Amino acid sequence: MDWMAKQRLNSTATARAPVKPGPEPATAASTNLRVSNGLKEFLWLISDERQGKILDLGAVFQSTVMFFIERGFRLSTEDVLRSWKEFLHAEEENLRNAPVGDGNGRVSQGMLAGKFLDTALQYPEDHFHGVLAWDLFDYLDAELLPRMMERIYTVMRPGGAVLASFHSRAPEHFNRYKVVDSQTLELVPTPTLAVHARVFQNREILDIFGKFRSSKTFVGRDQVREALLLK
Amino acid sequence: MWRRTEELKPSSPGANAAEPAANTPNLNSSVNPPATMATSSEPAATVAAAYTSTPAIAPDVAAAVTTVSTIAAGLKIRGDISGNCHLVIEGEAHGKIHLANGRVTVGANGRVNADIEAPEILIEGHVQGNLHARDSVRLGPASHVQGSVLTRRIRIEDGARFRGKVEMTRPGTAADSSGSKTSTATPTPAATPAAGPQNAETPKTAIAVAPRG
Repeated sequence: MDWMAKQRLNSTATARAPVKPGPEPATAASTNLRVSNGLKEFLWLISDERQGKILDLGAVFQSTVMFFIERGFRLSTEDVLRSWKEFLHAEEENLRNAPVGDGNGRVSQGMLAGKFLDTALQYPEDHFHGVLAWDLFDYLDAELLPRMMERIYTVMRPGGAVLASFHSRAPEHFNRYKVVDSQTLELVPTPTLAVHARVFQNREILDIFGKFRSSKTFVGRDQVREALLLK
Repeated sequence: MWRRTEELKPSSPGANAAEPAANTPNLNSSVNPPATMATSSEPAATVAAAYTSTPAIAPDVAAAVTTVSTIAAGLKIRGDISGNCHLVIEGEAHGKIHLANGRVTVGANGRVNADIEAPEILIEGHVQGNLHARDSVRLGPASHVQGSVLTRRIRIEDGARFRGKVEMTRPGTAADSSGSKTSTATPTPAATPAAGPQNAETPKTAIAVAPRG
């Protein structure tokens, strides 16, 4: 599907017809709720896809699964950050148990990243219409990040959208994200899975998504930036 | 850059029920099929209570089947498992599991490397394989599942770990009938021999274990 065409069509349509308001967002009674304009726009972009395929790269939550299933999407979940942590732990164990002098003592970060992606994110090419990646890319190793971006790009359909979040400053807590409604997320405090690797500037965010053809960013009150990118 | 839009298009502990290992014969893979596994006559409700902190989502299943078979901790089974009773797995199972009318429960210590097909599936342990439930699937807070889920209802507790795809079926759809293949791309369990008509008054109590060739 041509997202740009959709935008033009929608622009014309809304000029004639009154805008139908979306569902009211959940009231922010809890500080763990945050409004996500990125999610709202992401949903709009994929809304025309019947049985569109979504890949959530975070932890699985009932509310997120049901949110997308009830809207007719097919949801796949892969907690990449947790898998990466477990992979590193397993590699450390292997190294520790390896006989001294067998040549396996030096493993570069690049090799680890490549090995990890031999088993992670194994999906057909051009498969997903949308990818959700909250609190992921700025937690990744510098060697893994570009490789993972390449893999994500590959498994996405042309016109597909990625919604990612980036912290403007190092976060105090590690959170996972639940979808509450079409523009509200619940932050679920979680024991730290990975250390926040770095703060990306806008320019750098665009650079790491260099192969994507269009982008848009949203900055929340909590200084978390959401980036929406189209393949 | 995109026009900013205001509208939004989309509408808007499981080991308690395990039988002692002594009640379960130690199955050797060299046994000719079908080996029969002993089952207990423990009321199904006991197992249901042990594994469902939330209300049972398919009480009809529990009512129709009254026997429970257990693969106890320390027991490993390789092969296809089919039958017509509840199955609790606290040990290890590799192969395929197909229950025409019962509940499969993978306890906290259970490790399953198999596709599971049953009306109701409860996971508290580790499963690598596809889950196909006619009625419901529940992933407990300590569960770890890698595979696709195809079911009518799903409950995922916080803390569950899942890597795979979730698809929902509706009553009456092809994918909803037990043993049928789905039309979607979801990897589904291979067809297992369909069980005969179910009779709640005379439930079959044996589970056939067929070593995989």
